[in-house]
Amino acid sequence: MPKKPNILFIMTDQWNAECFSGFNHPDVKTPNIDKLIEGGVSFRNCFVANPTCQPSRTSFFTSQYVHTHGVEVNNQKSKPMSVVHPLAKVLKENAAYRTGAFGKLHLGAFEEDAGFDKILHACDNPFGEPKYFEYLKEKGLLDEYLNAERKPPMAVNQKFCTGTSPLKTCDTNEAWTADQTIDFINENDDPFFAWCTFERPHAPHMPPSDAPVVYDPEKLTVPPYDPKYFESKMNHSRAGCENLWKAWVLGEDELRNALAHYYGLISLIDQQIGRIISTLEDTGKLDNTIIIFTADHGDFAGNLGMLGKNSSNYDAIIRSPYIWYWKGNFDRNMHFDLCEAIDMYPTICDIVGIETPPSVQGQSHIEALKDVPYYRGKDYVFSERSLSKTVRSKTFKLTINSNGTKHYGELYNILEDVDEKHNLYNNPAYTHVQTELAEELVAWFIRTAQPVHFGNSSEDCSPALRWHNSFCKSTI
Amino acid sequence: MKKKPNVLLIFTDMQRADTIHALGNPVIKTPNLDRLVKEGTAFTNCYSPSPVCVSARCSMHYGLYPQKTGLANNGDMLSDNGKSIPAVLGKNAYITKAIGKCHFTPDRQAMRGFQQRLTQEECCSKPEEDDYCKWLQDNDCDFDEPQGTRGEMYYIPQISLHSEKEHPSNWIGDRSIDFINEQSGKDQPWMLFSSFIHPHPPFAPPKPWHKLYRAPLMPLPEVPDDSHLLHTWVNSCQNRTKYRDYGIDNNLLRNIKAYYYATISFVDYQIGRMLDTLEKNGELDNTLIIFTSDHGEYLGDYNCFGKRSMHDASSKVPMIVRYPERFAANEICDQAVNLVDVFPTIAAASSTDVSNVDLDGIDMSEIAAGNSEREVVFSQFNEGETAIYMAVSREWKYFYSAGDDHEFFFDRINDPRESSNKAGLLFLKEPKEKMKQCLLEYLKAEKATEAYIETESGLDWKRYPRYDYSFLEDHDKNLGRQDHDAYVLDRPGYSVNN
Repeated sequence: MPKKPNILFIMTDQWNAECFSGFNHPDVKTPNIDKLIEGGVSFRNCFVANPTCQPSRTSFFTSQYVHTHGVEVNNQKSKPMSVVHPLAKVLKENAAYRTGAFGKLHLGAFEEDAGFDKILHACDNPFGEPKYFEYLKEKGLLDEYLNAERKPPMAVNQKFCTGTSPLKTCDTNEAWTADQTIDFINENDDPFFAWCTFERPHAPHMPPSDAPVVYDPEKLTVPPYDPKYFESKMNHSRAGCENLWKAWVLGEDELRNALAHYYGLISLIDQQIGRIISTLEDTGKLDNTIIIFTADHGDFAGNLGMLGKNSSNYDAIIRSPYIWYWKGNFDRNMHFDLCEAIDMYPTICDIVGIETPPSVQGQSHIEALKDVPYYRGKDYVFSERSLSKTVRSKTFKLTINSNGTKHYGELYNILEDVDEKHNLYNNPAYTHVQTELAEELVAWFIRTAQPVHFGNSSEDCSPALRWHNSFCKSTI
Repeated sequence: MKKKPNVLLIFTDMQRADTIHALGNPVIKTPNLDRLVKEGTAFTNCYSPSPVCVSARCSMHYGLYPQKTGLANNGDMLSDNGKSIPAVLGKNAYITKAIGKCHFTPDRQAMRGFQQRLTQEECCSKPEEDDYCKWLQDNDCDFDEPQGTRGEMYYIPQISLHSEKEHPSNWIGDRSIDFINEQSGKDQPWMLFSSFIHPHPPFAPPKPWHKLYRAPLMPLPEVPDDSHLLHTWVNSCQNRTKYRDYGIDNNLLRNIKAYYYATISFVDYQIGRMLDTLEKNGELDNTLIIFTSDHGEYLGDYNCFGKRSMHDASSKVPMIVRYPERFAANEICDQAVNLVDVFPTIAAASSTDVSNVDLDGIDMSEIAAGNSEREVVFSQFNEGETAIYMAVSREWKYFYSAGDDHEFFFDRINDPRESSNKAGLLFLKEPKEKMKQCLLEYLKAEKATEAYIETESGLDWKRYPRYDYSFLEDHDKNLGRQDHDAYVLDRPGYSVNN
C-alpha cells in the first residue's frame, strides 16, 4: 500500500490575500511561497468563517461555521458545543498520522481535544507559559522581548504597534516555530500532520533588524483612500488602539512605515517557510508532502488607508490566502472561483482516503486540484460575526448587521465597486439581487444552525444530519 | 442588354437577429421576413461593425470598418468622400433614393450620394426639417415625438399616438411603394434605401397591432447565472440611462417584449406590401433585396438594456438576401458576415466597378458559395479608454472591454446563448489566443495605437485605468435619462424648469 502523504499545514495570522509577489503585488517579496504558487493551485477567492483568530481557527479544525460550533469571540473559555471530529484527531485515529502543532494555536481549551500528539506554543497557551518563552528565558532574552513586543508602550501601540524587534532573526518566534516544525518532521519517517502556525504578520509589527527584506516606506504603493469612506456606514470601529490605525488619523507617513514593517514580517515568514521546504527537500520528503498555506483571516494592508482590522466583513479581512502544493500530484492552476476555508478539512479527507465525518459542513474541492477543467467553485460563501452575517456571490455581497434592536443592511456590487463604497441595500434597481442573497443567507442559517437541545433528541433533528452532504443531496 | 437589377435595401433600427419566425423564434409573427428567408439566403451570423446607430450606418454606407471611417460611436461621420453605396451606383446610371432614417451626421439633411431623400429622422419634431413631420402637419396630425414618447417613457411599452395609416412605419411603406410604382417600366435601374426607425424604442405600435402578442405569454429575457460577470463597463453605464436601474419587473419585461415584437411585425407588414408591389410590377426577381438592421437590443438579457456592447443580443443583426440569380433560395449560411459586406454584395450584383473604392467587406454571395477563406469579422464600440473590440467567427467570439480591462470569450457552438465567459479557461487558451491575436493584428494593421501595445511576447491590449464608475455614487444619477429635456412643457406657471 502506498504511504499516506505527509501534510504540512502552514497558517499565518492576518496575512492579506493579495500580499504575494507571485500574485503581482507591487511591493511584497515572497520568493519561497511564490514557488508554491507557481507549482501548485492557488485559490484567490477563499473566505474564512469569521475574521478573528479563535473562531476562524476553530472553523478550520471542525469544518463548521461559527454559529454552529459556538466559538464566537477570541479567548472564549468554552469549547465548541457542536458535534466535532477535530481534523488532527481524525487523521490520527483513522489514518495513523502523527500530529503536531507549533506556534500560535489560539484554539483555547479546545486544543486539548484537538488530537495533537505534540503541542509547542509560541504564545497564547491557555494552560501555562508558552514554550517559546522558556527558550528566550534560557537565552536571557525574555524580559527584553516582553517589554518590546508583548507590552509595548501605549505610544507605540497607538501608532500601528510598529518598531524593530530587539531579537535576531534566529531567535524570533518565526524562526522558533519553523525550528519546532523541522524537528517534528525529522523525528521519524511515519506520515505526519504538522500544523506550523506563525503568530504574525499580525501586530506587533516588529521584524528584527536582520530581517531578509527591509522595505523602504517611501517606495511603497498606498492605494487611494477617502477619510469620508465610513461616514455613511454603520460604526465598524473596534475597541482599542487599532481604531486609530488609519492614514487620515496618524498620517500617511505612519501608514507607510507600518506597511514596511508588516511586509517585513511577511518576508521573514516567507524565509522561514523556505527553510522548512529545504528540510523536506534534503530529507527526500518533499515529493510525498502536501503543503497548504493559508491565514486565519486577512488584513486591510493599506486598503482604505488602513492597517489591521475593523469589525466589518470587508473583503480584505474575510478573504484569506489559500494555496495547495503537492509536487507532481496537483495541477498548476489559479482559481478565482469561490471557496471557503472550511472546505480544507473534507478535501484533506478525500486526498488521504478516509471518510469525511458527518459533522463536517465544508465541501471537498479535490476536483480543483486535479485536472478537472470545469471546476466552478461555490455559488455562495458565508462569513459571520455574532452581530453580522455575510453572504457573498461572485458579484454581490450582502451583510446584515444588527445592534440588538435594529438592523442595517449592506449590499455591494463587488465587481464594479471593489472598495465596497456604494451601499445598494434597498436600492430598487437591485431588489432582485437583495432578495436572492437574503434568501440564501436565511437558508444557510437554517441549514447550519445548532439546536440548543442537541444530544437530547431523536436522530432526525441532529444537526449532523441537517448539513451532512448525503442528507442535503437526497432531499433537496 | 439585360437591365441591371434594382436594389432594395430594407433597414430597421435596433432589431435583434433572433426576431425572425422562420429562423427559429416560435413567438414572433413575421410572415414576410419568413418569405424572404424561404426565397433567399439567410446569414445567421451577421454582425454590426459598431453596435450603435451612426457608426454602424456609416460603416455600411461606405463599406468600411470603424477603424477606417474614424467613427465607432454616435458622432460626426467622415466628410462625404463620394464613395458611398448610392454615390457609386448613381455614377453607374442608377436612380437612388433614401426613405426614412439615415441618421447622417453632422448634417441630417445631407444627401451623401443619394439623388433623392424623404426624411424621417429620430428626435425630430420640426415640420420644416423633416418630411414626415411636414406630412403629419399637413394632415392635421400631432407631430411631436411621432415615433413614440421618450423621456421616462422610453422603455415603457406604449400605443402609438398615430393610427395605423399615419404611423411612421406605414409612412415609409407607402412612400417606398410609391417609388417602386413610379420606377416601374422605366429602363433605368434604381436603388431604394427603405429605412424604418422601429423597433427602436419607444416601443409604440399602432392600434390594433399592440394586441398581437399577449404580454403574460411572452418569454422572459435570458439571464444566465452570475450574469453580472458578463457585463462590460459600457453595459453598466448604459443601464442607468436605459430603464434597467429603475429595477427589474418581470411583468413589464414581458410587456416590453410584446410591444417590441409588435413594432417588428408592423414593419414586416410594410415589407410584405413592398414585396407584393414588386411582384405585381414583375420586378421581384430582378431586384436585389437585402434586409438587415444596424444593431440589436439587450431587451433585458443579462439584466441589460440598450446596445453598444458585444453580446449577440446587441451586436448580431438579421441579414437576408433575396436575388435568385446570385443567392440560392431557402439557404442558410452560418459563416460570419458583417454590414460592411453589404456594399461589395450590391456592387457585385449590379456589376458595378468598385476597383477604385476602398472596401473592407466581401460579396456575400461568394461567402454563401463557400468561395471565401475569411473566417473572422470585427466590430468596435467607441475608442481608447472605454472601447470594446470584437473578433467573431462561426465558432468563437472574443471581445475586450478597455473600460474595465476585461476579456470575454464565448464558445458559440456549445454555448450559443453566451452564458459563460470562457476567457480564463486554460484548455481553451489556444483558440482564445488565436482570436485575440487575429484582432490585435488587424488593429495593428489599421495603426490603432490607442488599442494595442507591442510587448516582447507579442501584441497585447493597451491597458487603461479602470474607467469612471462614479455613477455608482448616486442611485438616481442619469436614471432613465433618455432625452428627458428634449420636449418640455414651458408655459407660465407650468414649467418643468422651476
